[in-house]
Amino acid sequence: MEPLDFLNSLKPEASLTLSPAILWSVFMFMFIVFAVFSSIIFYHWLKYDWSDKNIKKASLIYISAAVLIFVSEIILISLIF
Amino acid sequence: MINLHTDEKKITEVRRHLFVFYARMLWPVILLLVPLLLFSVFRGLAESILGANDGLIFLFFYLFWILILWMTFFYQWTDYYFDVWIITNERIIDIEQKGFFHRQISTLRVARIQDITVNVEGVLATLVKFGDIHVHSASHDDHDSHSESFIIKQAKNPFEVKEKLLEIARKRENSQDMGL
Repeated sequence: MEPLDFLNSLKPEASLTLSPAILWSVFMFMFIVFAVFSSIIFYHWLKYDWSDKNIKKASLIYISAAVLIFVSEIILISLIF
Repeated sequence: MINLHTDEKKITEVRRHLFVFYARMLWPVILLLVPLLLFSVFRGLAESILGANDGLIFLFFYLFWILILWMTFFYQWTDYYFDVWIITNERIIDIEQKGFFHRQISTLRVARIQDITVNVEGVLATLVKFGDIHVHSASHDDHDSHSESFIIKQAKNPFEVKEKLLEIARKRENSQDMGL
C-alpha cells in the first residue's frame, strides 16, 4: 500500500457536476481580467518607449503565451463536454 | 519617456541586476508547482468529485492559474524594467517605479556629483556582481534633486557604473574649465 493511498478512500457522497455554462463563465471572467490587466500593462509599455526592443519582445511573448492558453482552454471545454 | 535637453545625449541605462529579478520570481515558480503536487496527491478524491474527466477539468483550471502567474511575472518585469537610472552627459535621471500607478522621477546634474560610493555586500552579490551605488551631490539646495544622495540598489556591475559616472563628471568639469 502506498503511503498516501488512504486519501483515495476519502470519497464524498455526491459528485460535482460541471456544466459547460460554468466553464464558459469561468473562461469569460478570466478573459475580462486578462483584458483589463493587459490594457493597463500595454498603456505603460506604450507610454514608456514603444521603440524599445525589450518592451516589444516582452509584449510579443506575453500575448503569444496568453493566446495559446485561451485557445487551449477552448479546446479543453470542447473535450470535456 | 523622459525628454532630454538639446545637446543632451543618453550614455547608458542602469537597472537592478537580472539575478535580483529572477530571485524575486522564485515564489511564482513554486506556486506553479503547488497545484500539480496537490492534484497528484489527491487524485483519487478529484476523480470521485469530478468524474472521469478529472484530468481535463484540472487542466482547465490549472491553465488559468498559469495565466495569473504569467500576468504576475510581467507585472514584476515591468516594475523591474521601469525602475531605471538614465545617465546622460548632463545629468542622472532616477526613475523609480512602484507598482503601476506610482512613479517618481528625480534628477541630479553631473556637475553636482561630489562622491560615489559602491556597496557590494554578501557572497552572492560579489559573485554575481551587483551592489548599491550611492551618488552624493555637492549641494543641499539643488533644485533638481530631492536629497543630497542618489541610490540605485542592486545595480549590475556597480564598479563599472561608478567609473563611467566619474568619467562623465570629469569630462563635464574639463569642458566647463575650458568655457564650453
